[in-house]
Amino acid sequence: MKQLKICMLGAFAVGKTSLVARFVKSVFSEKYHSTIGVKIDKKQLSLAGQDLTLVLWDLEGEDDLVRVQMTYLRGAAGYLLVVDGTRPETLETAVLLRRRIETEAGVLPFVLLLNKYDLAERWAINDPGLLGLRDAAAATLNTSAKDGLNVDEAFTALAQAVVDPGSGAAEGSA
Amino acid sequence: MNDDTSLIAGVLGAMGLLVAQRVVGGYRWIGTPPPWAEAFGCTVDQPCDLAGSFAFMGLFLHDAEVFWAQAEGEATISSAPWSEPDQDGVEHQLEAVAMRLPRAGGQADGDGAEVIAVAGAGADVAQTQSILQAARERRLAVDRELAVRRQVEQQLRLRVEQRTVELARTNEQLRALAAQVGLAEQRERHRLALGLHDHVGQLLAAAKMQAGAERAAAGDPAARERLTGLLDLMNQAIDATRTLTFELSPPMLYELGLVATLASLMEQIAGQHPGMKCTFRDDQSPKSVAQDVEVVLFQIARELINNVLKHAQATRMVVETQTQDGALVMSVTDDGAGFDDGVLQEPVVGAGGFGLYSVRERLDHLGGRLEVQTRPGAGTTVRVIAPAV
Ligand SMILES: Nc1nc2c(ncn2[C@@H]2O[C@H](COP(=O)(O)OP(=O)(O)OP(=O)(O)O)[C@@H](O)[C@H]2O)c(=O)[nH]1
Ligand SMILES: [Mg+2]
Repeated sequence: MKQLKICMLGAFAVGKTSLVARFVKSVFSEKYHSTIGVKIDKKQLSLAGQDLTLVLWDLEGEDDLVRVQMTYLRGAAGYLLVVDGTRPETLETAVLLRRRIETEAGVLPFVLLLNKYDLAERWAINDPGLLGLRDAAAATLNTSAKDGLNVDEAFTALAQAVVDPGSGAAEGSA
Repeated sequence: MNDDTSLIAGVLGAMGLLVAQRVVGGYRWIGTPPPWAEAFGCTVDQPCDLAGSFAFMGLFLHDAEVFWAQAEGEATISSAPWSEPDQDGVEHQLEAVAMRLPRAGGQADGDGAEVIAVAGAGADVAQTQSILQAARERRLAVDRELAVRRQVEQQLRLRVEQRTVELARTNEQLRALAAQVGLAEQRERHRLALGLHDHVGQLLAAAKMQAGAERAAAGDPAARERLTGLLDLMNQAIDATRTLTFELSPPMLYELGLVATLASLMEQIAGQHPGMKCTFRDDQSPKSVAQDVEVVLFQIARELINNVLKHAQATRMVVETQTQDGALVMSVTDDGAGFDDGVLQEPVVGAGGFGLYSVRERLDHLGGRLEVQTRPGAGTTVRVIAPAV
């Protein structure tokens, strides 16, 4: 079966691990358990009649203490760039991460996720162009690992963009 | 495999770790893979395929080779924590280690060295994790607090802005109301003035004529004397009626306009205040001002003049009307005590300013302007700039 390596990237505590847990196991926990190194998971996906195995590499989050190792992206088909919609600084981290990915690991398709959308009353991201990321992303989605909003759609959109780069999945909306 | 290598491999195997050694074209098992590794497909009777059994291992070993190729001297070990589900989907917290050991009697110099790879289950990342996590949780809490503060500040700012707008609106309404009240008052005064002038004034004039005729016809000197006294009283009544009429609302303001009325007012004042040198000047330019505005301007002029008479301790007063930049400008200048113009900013009643604040408010509403030049001891000039038509 065809395997796709997909990486989860973003600042710390934006919900990378939670999004994978929601997608793979349909669970969510309020408890924060920071990821050390990398956490690998697998999930079967059927896309336009084709069976795929997504190998998800949930990378540790970026902050002043931890710098994400770009070698982990080797062999990846694409990545989900995750932002915490209640913390505007995580958008800036996402911009920096993408820049580092492109210089150190190469240009890869990515889907931008504005996560924790269930906390809409604390929403703090107002820049309509999302600092230039919206245009570059194959899709941009408001997600919630907590209530499952757009989680399956996010992974499917990325798989779609990888498998069929010209497809409509590139017309993301958020 | 040299002695060191087999010794280390033996110890690691005894610790329940998965150990493999690099050979040409791949890796081979050292010892028996531990039970936990079987769930990943690692058994003695299977070929050793670390990269195939663990998604992480291929990349890790590749990175280790790259690392060694770049590393100087005795850098021999590379390690990384990771977690991965086995073939049954059970997650394992693991740690990978790759060691490069020198061959017996040789150097750890690339191809000459022996490499063993180790994967450990249940690697203890809890310590690192708790430190990292404590730092991050703290950071999150601080960020959250800052975000809440920002939000509260934003809301407060919005509220203040709203209130400011509301206040400005209320002020504007009050000003409009005051202007309306002022106009209504003027109309009422005008009505009374007209009544006094046209009615009472005419009656008195007629009575005076009759009394005059009676006196001319009277033969008795005592009667003449009495009629002269009566005529004197009637003249006083007529004067009083005129003054009152003028004070209420000079009919000539409506008939002859602001300039002529001001001139006449200044004449009257000069007559009433012999100690004060009163001058009126006009530049003779045509002035087109709406009648309502003229009435307000006259009212203001009277207030300004009264201020000078009552408070300024002045010996001279000049009232002037002219056209500047298309607008009517009326000024009242005195050589009196002056005042501190700071009081103009507030609606102070009493010392200094003398109601100038309210004059300014009324003008503002009409679209006009008030300019005051004054200093204690240096006289005062008040310029009223009427709204351009
Ligand atoms: N309300 C809400 N909370 C979320 C959501 N996603 C994640 N969280 C919470 O955010 C915290 C961090 O979630 P993680 O999934 O561990 O974040 P991470 O990006 O993997 O963090 P690191 O591994 O440290 O980089 C946890 O307390 C989660 O419960 C979401 O969609 N809504
Ligand atoms: Mg995580």
